[in-house]
Amino acid sequence: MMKGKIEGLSPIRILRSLQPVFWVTLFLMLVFNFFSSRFLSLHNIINLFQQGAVLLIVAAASTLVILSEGLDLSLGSVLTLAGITSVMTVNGGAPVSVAIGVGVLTGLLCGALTGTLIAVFNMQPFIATLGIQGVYYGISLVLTDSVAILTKNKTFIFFGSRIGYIPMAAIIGVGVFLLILYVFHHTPFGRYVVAIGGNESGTRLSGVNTTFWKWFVYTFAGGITGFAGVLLAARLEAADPIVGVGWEFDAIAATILGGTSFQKGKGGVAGTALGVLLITVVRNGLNVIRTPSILQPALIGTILIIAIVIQVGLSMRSIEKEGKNRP
Amino acid sequence: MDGMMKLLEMRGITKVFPGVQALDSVDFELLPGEVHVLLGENGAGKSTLMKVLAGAYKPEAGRIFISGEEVKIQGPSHAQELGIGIVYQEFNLVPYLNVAENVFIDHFPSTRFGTIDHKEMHRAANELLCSLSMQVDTHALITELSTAQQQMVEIAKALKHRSKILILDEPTSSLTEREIEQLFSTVRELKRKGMGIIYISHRMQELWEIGDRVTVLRDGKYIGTRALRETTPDELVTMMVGREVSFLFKRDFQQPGEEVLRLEHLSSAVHRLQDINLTLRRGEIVGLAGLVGSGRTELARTIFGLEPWSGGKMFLFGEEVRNSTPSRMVQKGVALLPEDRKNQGLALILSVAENIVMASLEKLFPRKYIQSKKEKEVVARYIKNLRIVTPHANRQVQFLSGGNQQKVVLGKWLCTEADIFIFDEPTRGIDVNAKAEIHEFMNELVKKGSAILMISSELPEVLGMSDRIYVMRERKIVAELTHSEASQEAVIRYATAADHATNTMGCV
Amino acid sequence: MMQKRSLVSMMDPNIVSGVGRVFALLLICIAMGFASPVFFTARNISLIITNASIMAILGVGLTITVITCGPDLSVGSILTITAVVAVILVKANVHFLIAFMIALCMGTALGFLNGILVTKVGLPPFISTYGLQWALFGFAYVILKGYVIYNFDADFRFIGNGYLIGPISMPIVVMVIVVFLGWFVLRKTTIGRMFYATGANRDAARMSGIDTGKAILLAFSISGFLSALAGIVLVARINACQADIGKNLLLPSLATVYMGGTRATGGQGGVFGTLVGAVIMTVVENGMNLLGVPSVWRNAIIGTLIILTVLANIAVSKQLEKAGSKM
Repeated sequence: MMKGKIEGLSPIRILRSLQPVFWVTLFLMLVFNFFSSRFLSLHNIINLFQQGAVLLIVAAASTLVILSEGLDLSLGSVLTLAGITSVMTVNGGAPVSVAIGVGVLTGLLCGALTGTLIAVFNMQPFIATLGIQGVYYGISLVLTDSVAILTKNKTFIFFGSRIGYIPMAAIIGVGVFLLILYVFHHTPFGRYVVAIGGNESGTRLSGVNTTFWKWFVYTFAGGITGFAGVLLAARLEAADPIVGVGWEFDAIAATILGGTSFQKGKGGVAGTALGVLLITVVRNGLNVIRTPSILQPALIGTILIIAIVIQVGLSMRSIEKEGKNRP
Repeated sequence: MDGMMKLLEMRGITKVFPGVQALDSVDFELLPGEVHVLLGENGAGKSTLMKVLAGAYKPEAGRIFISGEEVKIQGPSHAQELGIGIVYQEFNLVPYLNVAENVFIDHFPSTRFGTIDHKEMHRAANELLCSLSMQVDTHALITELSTAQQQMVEIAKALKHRSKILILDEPTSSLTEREIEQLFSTVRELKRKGMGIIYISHRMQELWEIGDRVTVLRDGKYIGTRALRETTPDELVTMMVGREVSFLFKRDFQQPGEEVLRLEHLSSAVHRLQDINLTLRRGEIVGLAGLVGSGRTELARTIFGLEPWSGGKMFLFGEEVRNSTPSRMVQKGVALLPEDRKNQGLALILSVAENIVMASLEKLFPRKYIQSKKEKEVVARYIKNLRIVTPHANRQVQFLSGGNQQKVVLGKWLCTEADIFIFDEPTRGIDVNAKAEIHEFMNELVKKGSAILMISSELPEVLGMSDRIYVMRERKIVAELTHSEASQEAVIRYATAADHATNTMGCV
Repeated sequence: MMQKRSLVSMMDPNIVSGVGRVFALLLICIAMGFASPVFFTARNISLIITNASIMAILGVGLTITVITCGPDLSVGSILTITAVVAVILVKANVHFLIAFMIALCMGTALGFLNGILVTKVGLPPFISTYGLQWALFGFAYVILKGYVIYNFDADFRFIGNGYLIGPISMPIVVMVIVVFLGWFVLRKTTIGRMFYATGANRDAARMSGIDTGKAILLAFSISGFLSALAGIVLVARINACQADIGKNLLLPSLATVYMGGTRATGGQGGVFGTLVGAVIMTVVENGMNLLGVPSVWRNAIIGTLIILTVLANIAVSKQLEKAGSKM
């Protein structure tokens, strides 16, 4: 009864574990298109990708953290802070490449601090990140004096904008996501993420420096979120201290909807793309069918909770089945 | 074997933890091609000694020689490089990584650019597994493998650096009989290739089958080394315990009373149990024997109401009961002492007192208000009667020894004044003294009129303590034996499938 | 058997750290007294304790959920939405007591919903409550939009700014009752034991015959109820209500609970610690007001406080463990 024949990463497995979310997304897309035929137009679809680009990166960061059995609620504020520092840099006359570097560096530093609290001091991730998010948020407010900072730097904005039919932000977003996906599957770091989430003590006893790699997950997540923050600022042509609020929830929701579980390192980065798609479709769709903006947060929150309940409920059942199939 | 160069020599190893001297100048040696058993009670220091060898701990004093050369082991990776591989009792595998990734977790084969060379990794993993006569898809995730297969992965992992020394820590505790045979044949193969194997085990019945020599530790001290063919179980136990211990389990057998539990054609879809017929009467201890995986714990959980059953009937004290919950079962007077006492039997951060009263809250305090005087009295009574060793009742249970923890679990259930006790592996991992005490308590319990259903994998315990024995195999009850009918052979015969095909693995 | 006993291992670790906490509070108060002459006036102290009451009421509910299962991150949103509903009813000429009842029932029901998400769906509490709060704030916004409702009847306001005897205000009275009941339930009833057992080890509790599902539902329902109660007291006190009234309460109330010594891992803790924590938090906020600390720094300071407190808690429990294991 040797059962070990199933491919770990085959597309079939991914599809099977994502089925509910996939169909829900498809369903919603059809519903939105029914109410407004503009929804499935090329123009809007490109918009969709532009809008989802930033979330794609942040959600990937969040997925890595969650796979390692952690949580980072500060990603939203890191996103904001990095956007602010990069815009301030570019407004101060520095070249765009430096500004991008500053943004990424901001993210790296934030992530490093968060990682230290969690990996070195053994704080529970959710308290550590909840607390530190206040700190980063506070810094954002201080740096900007609580107002948004605009930028007119054309090169900077270029990276976030769309040139005719070419969505720059989307391309960059997808590109970075694919890079993260590659890192996840093909570097030791990526494997360590799953290892730490699946069996931290066992991995440590196997000779891996889990404390370092745990710290590194948060640092890496911070760094790529920093990059996402720069991208967002480019798209918005401004850095706004309150813009990042709530992104961490979207990122976590996308991760869960993508099939990643909170325990044992189950799941993967690839699925998160689907989760991001669903969320972006919902946000974009509600706009396109002209839902009053007052209703939107409530609706989105409710839809997402329902989707998560469905996803988690179904995956719980499949975990039980998995357990029973053991010889 | 004299004159052969020693593969390993450990001399005067001393290891101290805050407040505890785990090892006191212990010696140990290993010859190539031998299986050297390391024997001792819990807390004797066997695991600690091996962890020192495997690089997980640094000793305070002592020297280690490998093939005659002295080494100072810096850490787990260094130990591996020196040719020492260890398979711990609790596997260090990552559930959602595949076999190859797990084997090479600390040393991924890399490409020029620093990324993982998947092809090479799977090839090397396959090679290792084949050398162990094991065929597992290296792309399989660990969660998809059986316990025995996972153990093979662990062994492959331990051997990847061309180890000369392999340490196996309690390797057979969760294997079926067939899987144990497979493991032994792998071990013999490794022996033939000249490896030295250190085998830590509690299970006397295996030692003579697989071991060449045995070293006994007690309380962190080296007691002695014997060739297995020149010693007896009694001698070894005496060395382990320090005094003569009778192997007999003291039971005062008596005429059983009224029936308290009856299962008729009980089946469970959740646990794939089929057609279970079982009775339990006051004054008796009924043993439930069988291999790991035969469904004993699942049956116990089903009786207790943790999972529902789907067919058949259950009668408690003569009355039929429907699918129930643990709270209702407790109210009716059923108790379950689980196999995993730390995670399922106790709340480790709560105190001894809080744990003892945990299952009796409604009974002791029907009006929901907790009278501390009454609580203190009740708790003190059980601490005294069960001889639980603790400085005071408010001590967190996590600081007690294994034997005392089990007594707290027992105390919790005695406090409920249950009539039916289900013990799942009551003395697993407990030192001989506490073991005898627990058997004594069990005897007292049934003398007073309770009934016990005892699951145990230790045949001597099952045979010695039970009035009757049910044997389970593959989720069914296949035999019922009385005390006089029962013997090791009889039980094993029913518990295993009558024949096994020998494995012919195709390996390149 | 005679054992060597260390004094510390004999004492209830909660008492040891509790005393330490009160000590810390006294120190902070003295420091504040030096920093601002206004601090030690009777008026200011009454103000502090009254403000602390609301935090304490929230905190008791939060403490219970943290002990049992995990933090109820939706307390701020439950407070908000129930307050909004109460206020609208009152303005629609519903009798204020009926409005209170409805708000309290609503809070309990929402808490119950949280409990269901955790027990039936199996979501980790910090995800389900975090998600729910987004939906609830969204709904509050839908109902009230950006408006502020103010100027309530004296009857309604009594519970917020009335005085029972001398300087003892109604909020203080409510707080005292809540804290006492909280202590009583937790320490002196079997229900409290159920909470602790469920939090310490849910499996073991269940296998001991404790209905852990019921315990979790009850814990969250209580938390919802108390959030609503706190909301009523709050709006009665400040005589106004708007859609974001509870937005900034989450972080401080978490800080309150963790400062009170209740550990995030569950199974231990108590309300008196939370009470002290509430006073500390309020003293700190009061101090920040008196010293004119700009509001942009508030989040950062509170976030830092949470982190430092939890780090201290971790350090303390490590010390106690070391002392305790020297049996």
